[in-house]
Amino acid sequence: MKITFSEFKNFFKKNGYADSDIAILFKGVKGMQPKTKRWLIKWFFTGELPTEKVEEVTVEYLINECGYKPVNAFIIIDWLMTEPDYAKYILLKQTNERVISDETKQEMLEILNGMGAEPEVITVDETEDIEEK
Amino acid sequence: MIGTLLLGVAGIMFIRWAVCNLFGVWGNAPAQNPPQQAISAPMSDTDKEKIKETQNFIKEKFGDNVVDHFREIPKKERVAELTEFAEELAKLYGVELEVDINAEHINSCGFYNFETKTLEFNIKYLMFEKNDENFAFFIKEAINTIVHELRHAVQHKATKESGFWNVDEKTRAKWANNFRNYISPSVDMRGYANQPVEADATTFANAALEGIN
Repeated sequence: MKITFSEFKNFFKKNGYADSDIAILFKGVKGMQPKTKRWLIKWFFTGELPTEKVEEVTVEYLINECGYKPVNAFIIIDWLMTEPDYAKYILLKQTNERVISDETKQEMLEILNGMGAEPEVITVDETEDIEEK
Repeated sequence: MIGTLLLGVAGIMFIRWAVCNLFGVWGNAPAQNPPQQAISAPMSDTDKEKIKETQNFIKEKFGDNVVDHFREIPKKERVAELTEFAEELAKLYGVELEVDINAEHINSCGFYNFETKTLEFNIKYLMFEKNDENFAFFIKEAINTIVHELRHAVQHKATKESGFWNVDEKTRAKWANNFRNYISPSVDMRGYANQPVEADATTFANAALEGIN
């Protein structure tokens, strides 16, 4: 099974995500371990969450008990598989929801132009899919 | 003030729900010693000087044992002392900002507001009872948060002023690009932690708090 970028984008747009965040999420999911990707793809199409624990927590626990959004919970589970010490360290800190306004982003763009530096944009190849492998 | 303290209590109840569920699962040991990834962003010679200054300043303000210092003072004095600490550290860093310690953004421990140039810090970390098993962790986390957020203020100023803290042009551009493409922790927690401005601030704050008891 696979998720096309178009399916992914439509799903998350309906759930209120901005285009820039959808691109970030898509890249985050593409970088996952095959096992986590398989779980996410199954959830995407069936709503079914995996029951396997990683470092004593499940995706469902992260969503229901800790308040993480579903895809973020999958990303966290993947992170706990690959870098458990670092993931736990960051997760135990009360991280800050920082909002960078359009004004500040514009200010940064003007600074980059003034420096003659290349402004980076997060882009996604829209022909890419999320596959189970 | 009473209202703020009541909100602080509510904040503790929230923090126990959101974070202490994970404390309940893992304990606080994984948060005590930063792993390599949390201390590995490159620090310049100027950064290292500032880290040393910060360590000396913390000891000057709170003595050799910071946790014991805060155990022995009433909660409202903890708020006053940390506000003053943040204001004075901002001056030491050369950043102009207001410090607002409140209980408004209950989901956050603290953040630097780029638009208003305000360091907002949630008092909930300061409201734990002195014999709470996580008291030491939360006091050190409060100071870590202030240093971390002030580092963001430094990053912001460095992108705008060439030469501030001797930040090189490549790093200025990297930070400016990151602020334009910032990854929120509510979207991708791993991406959030690994992005340049966060990895830098985490490393800086951890280095500043190394050896602080």
